[in-house]
Amino acid sequence: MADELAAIQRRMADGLLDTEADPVELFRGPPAATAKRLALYRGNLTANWHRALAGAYPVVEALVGESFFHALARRYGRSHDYREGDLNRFGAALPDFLADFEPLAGQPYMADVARLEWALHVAHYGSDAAPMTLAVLAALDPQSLADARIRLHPNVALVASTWAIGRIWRAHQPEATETLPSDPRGGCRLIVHRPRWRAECRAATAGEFAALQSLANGECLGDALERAAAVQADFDPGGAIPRWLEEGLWLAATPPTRQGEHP
Amino acid sequence: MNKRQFLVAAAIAGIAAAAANPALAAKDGKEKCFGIAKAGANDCASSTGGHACAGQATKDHDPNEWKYVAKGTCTEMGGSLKAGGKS
Amino acid sequence: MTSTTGLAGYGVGLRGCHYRDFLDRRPAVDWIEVHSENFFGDGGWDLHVLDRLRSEYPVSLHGVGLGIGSASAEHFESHLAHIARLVARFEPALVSEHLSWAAIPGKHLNDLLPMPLTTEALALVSERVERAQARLGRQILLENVSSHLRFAADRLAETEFLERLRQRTGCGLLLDVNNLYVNQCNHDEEAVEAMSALRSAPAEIHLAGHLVTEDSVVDHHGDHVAEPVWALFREAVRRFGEVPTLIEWDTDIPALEVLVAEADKAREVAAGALSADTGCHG
Repeated sequence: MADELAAIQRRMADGLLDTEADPVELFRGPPAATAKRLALYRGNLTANWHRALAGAYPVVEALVGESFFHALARRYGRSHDYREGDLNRFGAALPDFLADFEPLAGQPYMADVARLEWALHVAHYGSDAAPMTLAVLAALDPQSLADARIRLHPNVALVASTWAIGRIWRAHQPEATETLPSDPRGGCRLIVHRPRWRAECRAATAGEFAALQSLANGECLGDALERAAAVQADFDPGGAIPRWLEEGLWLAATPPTRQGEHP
Repeated sequence: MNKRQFLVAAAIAGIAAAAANPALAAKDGKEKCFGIAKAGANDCASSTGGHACAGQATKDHDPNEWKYVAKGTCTEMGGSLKAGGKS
Repeated sequence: MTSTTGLAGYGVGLRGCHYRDFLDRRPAVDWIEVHSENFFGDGGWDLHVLDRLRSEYPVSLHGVGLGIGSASAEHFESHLAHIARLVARFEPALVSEHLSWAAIPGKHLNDLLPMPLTTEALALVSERVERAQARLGRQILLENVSSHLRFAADRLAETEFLERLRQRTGCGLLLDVNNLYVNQCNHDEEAVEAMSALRSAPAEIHLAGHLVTEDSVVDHHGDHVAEPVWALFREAVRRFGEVPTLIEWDTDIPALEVLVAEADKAREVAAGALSADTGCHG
């Protein structure tokens, strides 16, 4: 019996997702008027997708313009099988989608701009967990520091690109002091984080980026610092670490386990 | 002192110095909260329609190619590039 | 069957653009309602604001994404788990959902799609409401939706469906008066007659603006409450007495004062309807 309900919903859904199918016989009323009203639901679907994506990707929308973005939202919404009732997560797959989106082949930086925006979006709704403080770190046994593992705060994301996505993003912020680069080429390394409530991103040095990435991969602090020094000769751990703590990039430090001990 | 020991020693010294400096340590705790709020992504799902949607009461075919010509701020950045940045 | 929630009077839907006004000025509304799904994140500004406001205002959680009538149950439990987390954290005075469906296997459509109003659907929604109430450990309300289409398979009027649902499950009803009006326009369903199907008062009333287009009346929540909807609201108050009433505004959201004024107007209209009623019978 539940089959009839499932069948009706399936046919209506197909009608909303497929522009050629108008299952007018499912409904009361004259077919021509019914087709128009089905189109209202169809338009609503695209409008909801557009709005959900625009909330997470304002810079991508500004870059491509509203009508392109609307068409993009429709193409993405139809091809991407989203399974959640919360539209905040709807855009998660957009960066990968953009990387293969033929009409944007001439703007190859777009997928990376989207990656940055998604990281900021996720951080906005991310954990309120209190970051590790400098005082807590300073109280740890200095002898154990080199072998300690550091958990980055869950709102931290490390985004690297061969394109100038940091400058592109900053030029679109309301309080922007920089203008758009005339050429999008030029790589960057960015740290996304959320001091208190507003998600932000800043440029990282090669050393900082390598060290934080190493920590994120589960390596100990000594290894992370060595990786930083390997890519940046003047990397200064004494300046970098307090800054990271002040920015709330670390969540906790786990001292090394003793030999023969299993965590 | 090898490289690793040197780096760790510098880290320890920097942490101790910063922790001893209250100006640095007390900086947090202030709420910057203007302009933070994002529009709720789910708000419009509660209303069947909206101006944007009402304008679409026509057969909703896939858009023509002209819609896929980017007309936003990206045009200010030297137009089209080849993927990989080697143009 | 309405619960003793301590929520009464006239509220407004809390939207992101008004957070700052609410925090700074604590406007004089009796309660606030939020869309549950906007608070599904682990943390951040939205949850923080709601944390602060819940000590000042009774809160109602209004879901827009559960799709309780979807034949596919694929998304049901995980979505409900998110709502349960919010219920535990905010202890809302009311929790409501829509009588609608939203998903097929493998795909969520993120809209409030109208239910086929059949006995089969009634059985399915009853079972889901019972599961939701058991999971949340409390009563939920179900709201009538506006729609552009009615199914050929329909056997019940929407309010009749909801009344039977209430009898079966002990859920509460959220009567959206604007939606009744929109459906009266779109489907020739007499709104007053629709109200007559309810044997007792709803637990909450919604009021909002709509948009008249050539093809259909669209429930866009983007304008003042229209005059015919106020007339229906008067009728509802005469029938059911004063019910917690909410002003919803989601498109082209105006300054908060406009929403507060609309809530005040609802208060006046209700008072007027009740005093006129007394005059009539006394």
